[in-house]
Amino acid sequence: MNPTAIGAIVAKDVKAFVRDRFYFFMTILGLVFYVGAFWLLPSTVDETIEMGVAQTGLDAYFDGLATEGGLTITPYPSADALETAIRSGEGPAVGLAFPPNFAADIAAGKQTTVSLFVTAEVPAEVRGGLSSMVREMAYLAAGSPPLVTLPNEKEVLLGVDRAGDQVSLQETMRPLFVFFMLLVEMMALATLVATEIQQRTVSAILVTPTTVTDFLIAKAILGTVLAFSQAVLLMLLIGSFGTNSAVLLVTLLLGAILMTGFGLWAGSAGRDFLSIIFWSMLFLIPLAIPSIAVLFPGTAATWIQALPSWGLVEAIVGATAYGDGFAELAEPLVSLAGWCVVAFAAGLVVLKRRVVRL
Amino acid sequence: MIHKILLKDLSLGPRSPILLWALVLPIVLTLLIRMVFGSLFTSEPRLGIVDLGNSAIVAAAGQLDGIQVTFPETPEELRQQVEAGNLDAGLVLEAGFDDLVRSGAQPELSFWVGGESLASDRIILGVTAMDLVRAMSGVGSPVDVSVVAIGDEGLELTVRMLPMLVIMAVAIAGVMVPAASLIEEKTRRTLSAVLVTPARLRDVLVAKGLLGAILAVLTGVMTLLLNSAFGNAPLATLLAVTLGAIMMAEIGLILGSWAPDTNTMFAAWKGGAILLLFPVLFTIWPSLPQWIAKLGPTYYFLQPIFDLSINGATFADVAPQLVIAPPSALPLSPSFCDSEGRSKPGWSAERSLPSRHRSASRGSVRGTASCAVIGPPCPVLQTKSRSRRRLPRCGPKLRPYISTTHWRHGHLWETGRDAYEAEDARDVPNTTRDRPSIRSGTRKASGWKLTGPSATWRAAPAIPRR
Repeated sequence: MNPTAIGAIVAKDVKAFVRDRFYFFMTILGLVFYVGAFWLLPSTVDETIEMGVAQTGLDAYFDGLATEGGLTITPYPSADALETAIRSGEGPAVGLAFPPNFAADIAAGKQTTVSLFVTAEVPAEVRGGLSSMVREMAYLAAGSPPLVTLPNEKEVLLGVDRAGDQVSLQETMRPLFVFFMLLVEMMALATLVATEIQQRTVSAILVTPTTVTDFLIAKAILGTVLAFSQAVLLMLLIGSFGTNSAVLLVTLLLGAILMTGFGLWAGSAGRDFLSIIFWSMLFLIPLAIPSIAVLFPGTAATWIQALPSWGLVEAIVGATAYGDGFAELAEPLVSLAGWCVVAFAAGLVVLKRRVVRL
Repeated sequence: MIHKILLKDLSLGPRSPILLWALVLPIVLTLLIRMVFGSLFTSEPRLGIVDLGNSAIVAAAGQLDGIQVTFPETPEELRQQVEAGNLDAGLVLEAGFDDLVRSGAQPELSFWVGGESLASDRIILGVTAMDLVRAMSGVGSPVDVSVVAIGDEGLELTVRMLPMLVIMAVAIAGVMVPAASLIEEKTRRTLSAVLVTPARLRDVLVAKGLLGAILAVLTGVMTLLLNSAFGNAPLATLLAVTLGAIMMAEIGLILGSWAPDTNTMFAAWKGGAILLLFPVLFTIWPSLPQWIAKLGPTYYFLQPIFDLSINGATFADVAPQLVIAPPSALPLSPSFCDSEGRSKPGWSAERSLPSRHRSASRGSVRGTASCAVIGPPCPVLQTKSRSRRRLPRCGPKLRPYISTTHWRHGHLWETGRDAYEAEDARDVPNTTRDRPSIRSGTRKASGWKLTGPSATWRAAPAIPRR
């Protein structure tokens, strides 16, 4: 191994990267876009239903509901006032208007009608849920006891209670931004490699004392450093480094190595700019799935967990959103490391075959 | 000639990544948008039910509007899914549950709530479960709930994004394919090789444009089919897609003619695409002032597609907008040349090509601006002298050609940029530049008798000497 030669190749490639206006521009643009988008995304989750209520004699019931969470109740003096507020857009999107003697009428066995005002954007489940709630209130007001016994609240709740502390869209989008940042660097590396092969400068390099191994090491270092530095910069700008900086740094380093492996692969297979984009797209589609899957609640399907980038996404979300450490993130990190070895080895093998065949 | 070039591009197309990209991207985009926006912004509460008996609640739960109901096999599986956050709540109906409820025994309800579920979903699923039990018991409700809807029903986000999907599909195929194909021909100099045949530049542009338009129609139709959005008037929808495809192909020709390489093409596309894409924003966010969308040419085929496929419009409803679409596309036409090779007013893609591809003559070209390059009537170079050491200022009428090889012998010669044919070898100036590198042909008394591609040149009628 010739460190001087490796250093020279890396320095040359860094210059070539900076001179490539397209990728340099895309890197800067991506950084600005991702940082801007991140801070524009909502940092909290709205998990309450804002509801206006026009009623008399049901204060105790609604006071009890308000303390349970999930409902924000605004009182209105009359059904007309409630409807006017909803129509004008100044009030909530949902409103319940009870007739003046609701409780008394129900207790007397009279069939009554409650109006549920909803705007067009109110989803069906809220309409259905509030209708069910009104019916249950009427049953209770009529003196009809619950038909079932409800279990203890602690027995009902499974898993960590995240009510009021949900993971926001901002948090869940973080891995996607990092992934796209790494992807651009992967394409940049692929272009550098492809140019080197197509212009046969690699042949010129190899007639010097530089060996194929030096060449491969230089490309690997370049790709990893480029991707890692961009990812760290992005994470700094979106304020991701907190208590678990070490976990996050290790995750980003492994992610950079993973994408470098794919970059070497794409660069060896691609002939020109278009074919590199094509190859990158082939890698992008499966690799992007875990980043998108994390936007959905629940755990990812088994086949998603088998994808190379799943460990990267899980570790980023775990470290930044849930404050997990190495112990909690052992499984995704091991998976990521394993895929790093596979992708990196495959990338190096493919590139070596191309180089020695020139 | 056009169909030959088109067939050549079609046969070579599958080797081009951008063609595959254009075909694959609409599918991927549709799937991604349906996956992400289909449930990300309309996340419905998820309820799992395990029925260990034969409860009537299961059938009623299947009819619930706005709640995703799934039926795991066992209570253990249900518990696991709720704990993992895959379900917001779970309900286990023990054997004989219905009978116990009807008898008034008040059995314990096995109802689990996931810790990651939203507080609002917990309330909705809780009261819904209670309501299902009440309904199963057969006791009539003492209250009627009258739902009063205020305002118009809006369309779902995935539906409002349909124009974006269509324009992405049509634009990637319609703009990028002809543009990339033209640029590749230019950078590899195969365009010049094509132009030494009887093919005119106009033929090349029309063939490339046709390729883009056909692919754009295909991808546009494919996108509409994937989104089940062909509407009640499929022919009118197809017409709108075709008009959009033609417009995009013409823009692609201009882009391909102007851009020197693919990097520039992509940079121009990234910068300029907003001018084409901005009308879709007004469909996604209908509260924005809609008149702004009408400033974009793409509005006049996107809005008809949207109206036909989503709003149930008929051809008569969208005809006024479709009538505007062709005039907005015509000024972009690359074939605005008449049979005499003269260009008509209007911006043509051909004009934006580099001059060496547009016209062979760099001198004072009299008569018309160049439109077609080869074949009668060609622009005539009027010169004044017969200097053998420099370009003739006067003398023979020379017929301009474009050539990638450097001919300068016999009837053919080249100035360094352009190639010409003279009727007589004596008219050919003996410049020292561009020594001949003829690869095929036999020498004759008057010069060279050329074979191969040159045969078509010689077939062109000669211009009589003065």
